[in-house]
Amino acid sequence: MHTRIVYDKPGRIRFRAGAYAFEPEHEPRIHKACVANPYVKRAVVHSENGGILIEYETGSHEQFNREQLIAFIQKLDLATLPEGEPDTAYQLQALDSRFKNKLAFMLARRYLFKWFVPLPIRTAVHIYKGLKYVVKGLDILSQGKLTVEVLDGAAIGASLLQRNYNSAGTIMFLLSVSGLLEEYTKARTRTALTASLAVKVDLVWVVKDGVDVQMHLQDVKEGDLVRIRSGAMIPVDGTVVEGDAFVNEATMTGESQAVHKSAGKSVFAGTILDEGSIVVSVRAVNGNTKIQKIIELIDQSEDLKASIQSKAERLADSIVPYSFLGFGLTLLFTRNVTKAVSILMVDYSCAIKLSTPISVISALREAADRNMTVKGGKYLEEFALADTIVFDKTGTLTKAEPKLEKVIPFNDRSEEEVLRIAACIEEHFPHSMARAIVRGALDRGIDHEEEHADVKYIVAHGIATTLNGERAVIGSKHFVVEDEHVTVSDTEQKRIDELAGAASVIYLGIGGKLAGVLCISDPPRDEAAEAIRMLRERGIKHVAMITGDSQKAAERTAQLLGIDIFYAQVLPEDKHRYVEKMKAEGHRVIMVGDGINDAPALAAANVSVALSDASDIARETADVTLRSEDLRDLAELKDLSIQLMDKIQANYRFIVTFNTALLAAGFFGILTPSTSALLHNMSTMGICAKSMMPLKQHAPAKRS
Amino acid sequence: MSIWKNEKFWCVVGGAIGSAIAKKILKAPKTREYAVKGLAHGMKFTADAKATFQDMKDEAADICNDAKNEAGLK
Repeated sequence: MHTRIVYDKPGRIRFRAGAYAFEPEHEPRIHKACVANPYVKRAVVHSENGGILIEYETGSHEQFNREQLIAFIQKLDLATLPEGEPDTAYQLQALDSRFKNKLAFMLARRYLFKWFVPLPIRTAVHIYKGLKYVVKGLDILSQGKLTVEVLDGAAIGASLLQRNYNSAGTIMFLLSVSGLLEEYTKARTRTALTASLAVKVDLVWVVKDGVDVQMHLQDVKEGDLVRIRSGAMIPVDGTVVEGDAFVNEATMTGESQAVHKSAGKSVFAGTILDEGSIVVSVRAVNGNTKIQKIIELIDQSEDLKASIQSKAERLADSIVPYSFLGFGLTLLFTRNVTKAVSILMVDYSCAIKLSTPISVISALREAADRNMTVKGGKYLEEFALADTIVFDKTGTLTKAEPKLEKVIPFNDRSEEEVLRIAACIEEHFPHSMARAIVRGALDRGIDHEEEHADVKYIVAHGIATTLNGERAVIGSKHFVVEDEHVTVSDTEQKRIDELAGAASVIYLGIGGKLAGVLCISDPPRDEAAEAIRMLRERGIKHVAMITGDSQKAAERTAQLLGIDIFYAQVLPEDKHRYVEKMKAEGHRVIMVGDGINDAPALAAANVSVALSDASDIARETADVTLRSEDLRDLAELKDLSIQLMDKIQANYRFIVTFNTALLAAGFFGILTPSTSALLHNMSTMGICAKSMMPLKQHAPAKRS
Repeated sequence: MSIWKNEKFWCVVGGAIGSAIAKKILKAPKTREYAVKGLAHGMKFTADAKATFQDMKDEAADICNDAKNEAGLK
């Protein structure tokens, strides 16, 4: 590409190819090609003047990077640009630029129109445009509704009837600017959310020549056979060729009842395999389905709106009749149409109706920018109001990577044998305990080839399979000893209790006998105690922990972290009962969990949170997903939610005070209708702009 | 009164002739050529104006960047 350098300073270089060098549709592709360079930090592309701005890494390689960049731009060929979806940074830049251009265009049009168009034409245009608002208002009124649109129509209609065309023009202009502002905020939030929700299923099991091989999703091709097991998100669209399973397609259909899938049936990316195991022939790798669904959900679902938002919208519409009443009364008492119209020009509803959703959406975006995905305004509100937080212990309060401390073999088996078998069975399941066992085997250099038959995951209890013709089970004591009737003698139990200490114990039974136990120590996350203290400072009165672990292990963790309530040895199916019990006692509960077994408890809470390393099903069920593994983000989210509620309340107070003052000024004839309209609409725009401002002024301090 | 002396009659005739001529002009290849040229000039003018405006915005952004650098904000 023929360009010249128009700006060149360390770390920043601007090329210009001139107008017509490339088309607007080339912009995202050029941007993509530029940011694909490892030393490029940021790129901005404009087709209007063929401009390409690049900010690049400085430091010891600065000169080299600059030369590389110049060579790269010179070689840039429109025919060989990368294809595909534009990246988020480009989309946000394009949105910002479009908004600024539209706003500049609207302002320019307004003033050119005002200064250069002759009065009769201006009047005709005002009447024509104003009538559209009036007709819309009448249309809504004819449906028996009295909404803000009716008020807008009435205010504009009244101005037109009074032959106050300038005032009508000002109202219409300000309404269109408010509309543009709202549209821009929504579009920007939607784009930022899309990027933040991109939950990736990176690794999948591909069946090659009868053997399961782990591969990156991006390497999976059409026609490959992918094995999917319980609790995993189906990463591809395809057809079942083997096995059967129950698939939760709620993300696709909204139907929460799991659907039975067997050979020949289709499955879709983004749905969750509740139970069973299937092999799917890949039809399409579609990573975006799920994300798109959530975005639509946030966009459309009334249920997900914060109740304060729905209340604001209802309140806004319910105020409209009073504006008309005020108009009538003013007319009656003052006999002055101008004063009465002043009342009609000012209302509380526009500002409330516009500023509340903008505040909520901006907060959602801000949360997304801070690596927290909140799936609706409702959950931010619940987070602000919550007084109780319940943590799952393993994988949530404790380190995401529990360590295998000890292997205690029984019945003449060796440590190595027990660990090899356990790792072989556990490696198929995305749980932190399972990962600890697999990692333990890896650290000890133990190879484990697939010797077992198909493995069955019994939700939150353990795993069962057949090994050399014998039933092999691995999991909690409750599952292995009580459900599966594996015998553990008193001597064996005594030895386990002595050696395990406060560690969590995983039992492995083969052929009805105890083969061994695996002791897994699960130290709390470094920041857990601080996070709990921060949450208490922010109004959380009760901190509870639920775990399937032993009383001893739970007690130790609770002591370490300053947790006041803990429930140990809780069966997975009972976890949600504790949450429901707390709710019944009048608490508003936040549940934080990570595993498949936490899904019912997550669903039962007022608002639920899953951490970044949680299982797919937990992330799917949770209302809030943290993209970091730092529990202090919970306190940050609490801050954000409280600040959002404060902001909405402050907006209310301002809107009511300011507009009441305008109404009074109109009533006493201090302000003319057009001044009232101008001040009212300016204040509405101001409050909308303020609502877009970030709640937290400073980025969080870097954590060690 | 003679029709030839009627003002309205001549207005109608004038109007008819005028519209016939206007139709001819509108359909003439030359008119089309001028119109196309005019539109192209208009489009080019808009594109050039956009390019100039973008150049100005870019230069302003660069000046701001320099100022931030000097102030030690970057």
